[in-house]
Amino acid sequence: MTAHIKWWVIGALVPIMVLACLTIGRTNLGVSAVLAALGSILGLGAAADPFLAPVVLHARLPRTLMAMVAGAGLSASGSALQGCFRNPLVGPQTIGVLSGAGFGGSLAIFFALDLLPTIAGAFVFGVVATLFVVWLGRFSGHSSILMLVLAGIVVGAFFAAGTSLLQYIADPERELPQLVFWLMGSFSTANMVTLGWMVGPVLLGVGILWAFGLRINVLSGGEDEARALGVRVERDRTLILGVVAAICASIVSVAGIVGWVGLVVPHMARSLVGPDHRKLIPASACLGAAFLTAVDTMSRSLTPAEIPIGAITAFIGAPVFVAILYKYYASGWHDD
Amino acid sequence: MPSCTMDVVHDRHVMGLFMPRNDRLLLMLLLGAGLLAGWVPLRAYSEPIRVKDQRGHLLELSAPAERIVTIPIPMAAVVMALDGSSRRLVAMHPTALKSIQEGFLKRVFPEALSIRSDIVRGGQFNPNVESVLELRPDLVVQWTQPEVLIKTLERAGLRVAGLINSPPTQAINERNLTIMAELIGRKNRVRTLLATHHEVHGKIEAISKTIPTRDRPRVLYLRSMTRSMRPAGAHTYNDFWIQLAGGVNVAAATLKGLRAAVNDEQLVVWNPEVVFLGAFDHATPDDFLRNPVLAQVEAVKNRRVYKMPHGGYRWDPGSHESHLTWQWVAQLLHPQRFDFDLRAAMAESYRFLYRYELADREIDDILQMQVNGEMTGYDRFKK
Repeated sequence: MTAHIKWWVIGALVPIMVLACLTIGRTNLGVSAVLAALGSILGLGAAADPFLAPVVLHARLPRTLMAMVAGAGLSASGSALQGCFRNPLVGPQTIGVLSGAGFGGSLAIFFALDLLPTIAGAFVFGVVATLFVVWLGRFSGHSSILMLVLAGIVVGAFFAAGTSLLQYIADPERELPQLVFWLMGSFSTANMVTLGWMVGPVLLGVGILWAFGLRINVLSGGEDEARALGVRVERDRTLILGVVAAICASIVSVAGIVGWVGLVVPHMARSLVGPDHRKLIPASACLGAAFLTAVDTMSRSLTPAEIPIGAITAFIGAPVFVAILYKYYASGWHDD
Repeated sequence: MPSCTMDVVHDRHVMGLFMPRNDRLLLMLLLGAGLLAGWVPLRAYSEPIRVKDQRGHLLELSAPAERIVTIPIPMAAVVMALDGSSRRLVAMHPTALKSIQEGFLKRVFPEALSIRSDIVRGGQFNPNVESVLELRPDLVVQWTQPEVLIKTLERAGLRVAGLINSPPTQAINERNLTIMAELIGRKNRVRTLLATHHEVHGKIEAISKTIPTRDRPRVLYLRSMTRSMRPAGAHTYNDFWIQLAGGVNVAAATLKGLRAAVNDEQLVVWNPEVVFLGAFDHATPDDFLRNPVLAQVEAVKNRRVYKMPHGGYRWDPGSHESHLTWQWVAQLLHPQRFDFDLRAAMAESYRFLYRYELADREIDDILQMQVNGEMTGYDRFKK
């Protein structure tokens, strides 16, 4: 496959997946019904079916778009992190941002607050967790990769403990089921308002990461080389970390903790387009978008009851990750 | 009630001194009979209690339990209702205390608000055993499942009665109530209460079993709605009362229990004609009606979405107030077929259970008149 065609395929994957997923669900809708409903928002074509149109426009469209954007954000974040920390095991989960945001959102749910405070809480604590990680990572005088990753694990564990404590004291008839459900990740509460809250920060963040592609390339070549090339390693790394924190916190705030996507999808993308982050980041974003859209569709369509997204991504992600590790090991990447 | 009998006897005795002789003889006889009648319940009262709990475990008490710790959330309200007081409770689950604070019970038993609830934290049902021991309870009420909950308490030397969580059937609900009543020496009260349950059940069933399938509305009960929608599937108490009242539970064919969460689209597929929103969260019928995806659902088009009442306890699960739930549901599902005076039934039941005279305002509050008032058919519950 030539590089050109490969990009067409990766690019086309997203809209095809979105359209396909819009037709799948608990109610049977044909492609024409979906197109009619979509056309009705744009003012095209005949009036859509009043029964089916709300299903497409209010039930499926917001969450499909949200899953798409979240998948893109998590995967782009993952590939940026793996690049700048030169570590294939790093993902949004390892730097503590997901746990931090999870705690912030849980806090809001615990106090039975509305959706907006939940979003704000998740965002603030996600960023705070990341700041802690950066601060702890500098204990050794300069920021070392090992310290950063360890700090991520420590901070992640700390906030995870806070979340457990909230679950421990939450009202078992009221807040507890909501808390557990939210933490497992779901796009079921998606609507145009929450979508609006998430899309801006995530797309902006992914854009910034893409623009940083070249610098991430330099960082991924090793710290000393990067310094020799005149890159301000710590500043750039902190900046990337900040952008990733913003992306992840806004995703967690509306959809809960969706694990594995940011860890696994970048590896798939790397095997397709190679390690150049100027290509890897958009490719990861597209694959991640398609992947999470498909997963969300499974979660809402397979059974009458919603299956938590986190459970599906983990079931798919874990074996895929083992396969990837095996491949890397076989090709000698561990010597790096 | 022995004290009552004694008062009457005493009055008659005093009156008897000023009566002719014949009448005095008759009165002596009456007095003897009265004493005998009073003596029998008094004897029963002091007899040792032997009752098997829901595990089949035999509990033996020399006298009714006086210092009770209840871990199952509804059981604090059950003990208070069956006893007509809160004096036997030394500790309860914090969520039970919250239900008292938020509901109607705080007006009946204001002293219940100071009962301890710090033996267990909200999300848990395994209390700190040492905190329980410190209270020196003569009875701890706990769920039978998971078994470890009871074992931990028993190992510490506590007497534990095991009850079944979220009783899925009326039989289990009745057994929970009976065990609880026997342990506090209130056999007669629970018998009277269950007689009312049976009477109402019989009346509803006699009518509902004649309703042909095509006339049975499709019903959905949502235990929560705010962040995730959790319907009651098969094998739940809610499924039981939907069927009893002549409805068809749309979720029962595919779901079991109360744990699954569903999305808007599944609700469109089920297309229920009547929706009941649980009293466990703050969602209102208006919230349900505002969801654009649900606009074509029958229950929304016909404004047949109702918030469950919250009385001495929430009316959704099985409890001592369930006979009121059934009447409420039956009249909403089949307004033409059922005709109960629910307000009168509530007033009477609360007089019996709580020794409390409900004001009209209080009945309105319990029936969630403020959020249900505009829904179809709710007029009939208005004063």
